[in-house]
Amino acid sequence: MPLLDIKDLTVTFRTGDGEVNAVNGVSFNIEERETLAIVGESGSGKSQTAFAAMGLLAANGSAKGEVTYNGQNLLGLSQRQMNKVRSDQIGMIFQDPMTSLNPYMRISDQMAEVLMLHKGMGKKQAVDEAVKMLDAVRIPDARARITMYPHEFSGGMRQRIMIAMALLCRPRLLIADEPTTALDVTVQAQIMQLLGEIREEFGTAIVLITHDLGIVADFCDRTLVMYGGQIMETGPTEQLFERPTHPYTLGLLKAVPRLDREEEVLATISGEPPDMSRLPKGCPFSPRCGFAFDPCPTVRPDLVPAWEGSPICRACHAPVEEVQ
Amino acid sequence: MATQTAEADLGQQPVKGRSLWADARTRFFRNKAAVAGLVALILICLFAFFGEFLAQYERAYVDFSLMGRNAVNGVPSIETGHYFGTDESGRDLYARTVQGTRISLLVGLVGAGVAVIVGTLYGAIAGYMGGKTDNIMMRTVDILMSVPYMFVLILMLVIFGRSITMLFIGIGLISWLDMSRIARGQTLSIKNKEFVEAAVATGVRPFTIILRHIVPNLAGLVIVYSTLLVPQMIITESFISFLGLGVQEPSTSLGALISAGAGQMRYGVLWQLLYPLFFFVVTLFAFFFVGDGLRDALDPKDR
Amino acid sequence: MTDPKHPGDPEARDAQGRAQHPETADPIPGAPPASAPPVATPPDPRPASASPGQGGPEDATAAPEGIRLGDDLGHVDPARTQPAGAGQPILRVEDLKVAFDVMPRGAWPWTKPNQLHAVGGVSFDLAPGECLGVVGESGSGKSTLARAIVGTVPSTGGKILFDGQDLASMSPRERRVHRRDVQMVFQDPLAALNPRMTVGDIIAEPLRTHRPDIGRTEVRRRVAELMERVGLLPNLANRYPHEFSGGQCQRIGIARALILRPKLLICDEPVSALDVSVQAQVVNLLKELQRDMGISMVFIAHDLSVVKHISDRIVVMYLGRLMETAASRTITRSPQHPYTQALIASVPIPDPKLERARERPVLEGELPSPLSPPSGCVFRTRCPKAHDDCAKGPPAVQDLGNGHLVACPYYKEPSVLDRATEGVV
Repeated sequence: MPLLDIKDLTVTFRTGDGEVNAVNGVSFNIEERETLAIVGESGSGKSQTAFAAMGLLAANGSAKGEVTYNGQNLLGLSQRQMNKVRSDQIGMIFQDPMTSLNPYMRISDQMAEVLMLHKGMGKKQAVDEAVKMLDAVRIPDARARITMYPHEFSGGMRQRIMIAMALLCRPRLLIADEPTTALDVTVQAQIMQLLGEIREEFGTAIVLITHDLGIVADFCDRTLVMYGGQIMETGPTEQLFERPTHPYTLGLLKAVPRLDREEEVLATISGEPPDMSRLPKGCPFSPRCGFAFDPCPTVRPDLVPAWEGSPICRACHAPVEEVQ
Repeated sequence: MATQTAEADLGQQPVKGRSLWADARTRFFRNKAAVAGLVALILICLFAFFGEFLAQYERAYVDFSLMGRNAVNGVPSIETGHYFGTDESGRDLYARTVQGTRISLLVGLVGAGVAVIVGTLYGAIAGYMGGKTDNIMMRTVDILMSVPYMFVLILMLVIFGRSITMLFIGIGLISWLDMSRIARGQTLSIKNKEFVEAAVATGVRPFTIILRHIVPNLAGLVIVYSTLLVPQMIITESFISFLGLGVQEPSTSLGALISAGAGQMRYGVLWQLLYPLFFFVVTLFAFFFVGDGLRDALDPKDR
Repeated sequence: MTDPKHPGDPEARDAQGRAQHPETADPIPGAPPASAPPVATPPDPRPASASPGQGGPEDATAAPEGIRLGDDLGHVDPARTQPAGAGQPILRVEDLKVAFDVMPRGAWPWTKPNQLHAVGGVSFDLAPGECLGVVGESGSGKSTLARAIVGTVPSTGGKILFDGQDLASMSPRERRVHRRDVQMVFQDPLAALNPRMTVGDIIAEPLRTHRPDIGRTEVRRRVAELMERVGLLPNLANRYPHEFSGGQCQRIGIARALILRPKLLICDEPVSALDVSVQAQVVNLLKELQRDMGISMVFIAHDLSVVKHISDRIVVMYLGRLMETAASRTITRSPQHPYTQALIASVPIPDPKLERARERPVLEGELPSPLSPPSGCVFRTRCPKAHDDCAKGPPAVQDLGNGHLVACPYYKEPSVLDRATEGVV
C-alpha cells in the first residue's frame, strides 16, 4: 500500500471571474521512503496539489477527489483532525520559512509547543528534543541559539529550522514546496545535501515540489511533470530525463541553459504560460505544443504508459516515436 | 487573468486596454452596498442643488402668521406647501434643509478637495525628495497637527467674524495634514518600485516623475481617503455650527438646522430635528458606503 | 564628486599614476612569480571613505608591512582585463566603490551611521559590442554595481568611464544627457512598469524625455516598430501592463530600454523572475538584439548557467569584490578561484546520470555580513585553501593571460574544489 495515494484530485477556486480549476483530475501516489518530484512552472498547480492534500487551501478554494494517507482519507477530516495529521504525520517545508515561523516567539518555544501538544512531553524534555533536532539539521551551537527569534537567523538557517520543525514528530512523509528557491546556490546545495542526509537518517518519504530541473535530477527517484493543473508525464527520474516522451518535458529540458553544454541559441517553448481561467478543453499544453494536431485542443489525453510495460506514463496524443 | 486576451487579439486593429480604473469600476459596481450609497449620494446631490425649484416658499421668507404657533400650524404637509413643516420663525423647513444640505456638502467637498490637491502633492513631494526636504516638510506638518485646531478654528471665527468663507479657509487649512502624511507614506513605498527607478535611470526629471509616476499611483488611496474625509468635514462643520459658530443666518447648514431642531424639541416640533437629521445621516452613510466600496475596488491586492 | 586624485595624499597620487601608466609600475615586492604586474580587477577590502573626494587608498592598516601583495590593487589598469585586440572600451570601471549608510539598531538621530560597503573597489572593462556577465550570490553587490553604472545609486569612490567620460564625477544635470546611452532592464518585469500607464506610453517615455522634438506620430511609429522587434503585437500598445504575462512584461521593459538606441544595456537579473520556458525566449531575444544592434551589455544574474550562455566574459563577485574574471568558457571549464569552483559545484545540472556521478563538494557556511566583512580576502572564512595571511591583506591578483584574472595567490594549491568541474566539462 502506498504511503500517500491521491486519486482524481481537483482543486477549484472561486474568483471574481467565475470558477477556476487550478488542479484538474490529478492522480499519483508515493511509496514509503520514496522521493518524488513534482515539477512545473508557475500556474501548473504543483503547489495547490500539495496544499489541497494537506488541507491548506485558501478560503475560496475547494478540493474534490481522494487523498489517502495510511488508509485514511484526508479530504474528509475536520480542521482539528487535519491539524493533528499535519504536525504529527506529514511534515511540510515552504519556500519562505517566515510564513510558518512565528516572528514573535523564540525558536525553543515554537518547537517545544509542537512536542508538548502532540507528544505530551514536558517543557524540558521537549526543548531537549528540539535541540537534538536542530543538531540533526546541522545548526551549529544549537543549545545556545535555540532561544533566539526567527529573524536572528539567516535565510539558510531559517530553512534548516523549518526542516527541523517539520521533522519534530518524525513524520513518514515530508512535503517540501520550493524549499530552496529563495536561497543562493551555495546554500541551496547545503540544504539539498541536508535533505538527502535526513532522508537516510529518518527514512522519510519526500515530495519535492520545484521548478528547478537541476535539483530534481540529483535528488529524486521519481518525477512528475505538471502543466496547467494536469500531469503531463511521470516516471523514474533517470529515464524521464534521458528520454522524455512528452513534448512539454522535452521542451522544458531543452530550454534550460546548461553549464556543461555550449548552445548558440536556446530551444524555446513558444507562447506564454497558461491562463488557468481559459484552458482548452483538451490538453492544456496544446496551444504551445509543436506536435499538436486535431484532437489535442478538444480531447483530453489520458495518462497511460508510454508503451507496453514502460515505467513512464504520459498524457499526450502524439505518438512516442515522433516526440522522441 | 487577462493574459490570454492579449494573445487572443491577433487583429491589426489597435486594442483598447483595460486600465486598472476600468477594472476597479467593474468591481465597484458589483458591490451592492456601494452602489446603493452612490445612488443615495446622487439623489442627495440632486436634492441639494435642484430641490429649490420644488420649494413653495423662499427660504428666507418669514411667515409671521405661523410664528409661535409652529407646533400646531407648521406641521409638515403637502397642502400648505411646507413639505417639511416650518421652523420656529415660520420659515419653510424644506427650503432651509435644501440649503443646509448644499452648504454641508460644499464644506465637505471643499475640505476634501483642498486635502486631495494640497495634501497629495505635499506628501508626494516630501516622500519623493526624502532627506532634509522631507524632514522639514513633515516636521512642519507635525507642528501644525499638534495645534488644537478646533480651538484655532473657533478663535478664527470669533476674531474674523463668522462667515462661510472663513469656515472654508479654516477647514481647508487643517484637512490636508492627514492626507499629506498618508500620501507621503505611500510615496515612500512607490518610490522604491522599479518603474520609478527606471524613470530615474532614463533621466526623467523629478517633478515629472512625481506627476507621472507617483501621483497616479497614489490616486486610489487618495480617492478612498477623501470619500471618508468628506463626511468627516461635514461632521466638523456641523459641530461648529452646533456650537453656534458656523454658518451665519440667514444661511444655514445641516449642523445649524439640527442644532435649532434640537433646541425646539420640547415644543413638540420633532420634525424640525428629524428632517435635517435624516439628510445628515443618509449623507454620511452614503459616503461611508461609497468609500468602502472604493477601497475594495481599488485594493491593489486584486491587481 | 568622487575624484580619487587627492593632491595632498602622495600615496593616492602614486596609485593613480600607476593606474594610468601601468607600464611604469614597479613589480610588487613579494608577489608570487606567476603574477604579472599589478594588473587586475581585484577585490579591495579597504573601506571606502565616507566623505567624497577620498577615493584614494590611505588606509594603511588594511595592508600591513610584509604583506604588500595587494596594496595597490584596484588602481591598476583594467585595460588588461579585456581580450587583446579589442579597441577602446566603451565602459571602464575603475576601483568603483559604493557604500551605504546604515543606522545601527536603536541609534539616535545624531549617531554616526555604519557604512555598508556594497561594492568595495571593482574594476573592469567592457569592449564595444561585448557582453559581460556578472555572477554572484545575493549580497555580492552585483545589483548595486549595476545601479551605480546606471546612476540610480551614487558611487562613493572610483570612476565610471563611459566613452572616456567619468560619469561618477558628473553633476546630476550633466549626467542626465548621458543617461540616454545607458539603459537598464530590471528584474521584476511587472514592478518595472507603471501600472497606470499604457504600454505604448511606457515604451515611449525615454523618447519623450530625451527627444521632445519628435512628433507624436513618429513616436508612435517607433514604438510600434520596436514592439514588433521584441516580439509583441504593436496593436497592443494601448493596453496596460497587468494585462500581460511576465515574459511579455519583460519584453516591454526591453523595448523601453532600447528605444533610444543606447550604447550600453545593463540587465539586472532580467530572467530570474520568469518561468523556465519563458526565460529561454527572453535570453534568446536579448542575445539577438545585442548582436543585431551592436549594443554592449552587462548581464547580471545569480544563475551561472544563464550568464555563461549569454556572455562573452564573466566576472565573479563575492561580497562586493571581484574574485575571478575570464572568458565565459574559461570560467566554466577551468575556474581557478576557489569561490568560482564552489559556485560551479553548487549549480545542479538537469541530467541525472551526470549529476549522480558528479562529485559535488559543498561550500560550508554562509555569506558574512557585509557590515563587517572579513579582513583581507573576504572569501577566506569559507575558503578551503585559506592561509593565515589571507586575513592580512587583500589577495594579490594573478594574471593567467588572456584576461584571466584570479584574486587568489594560492589558486594553484590542490583542494577538494578542484573536482568541482569534473564531469561538467
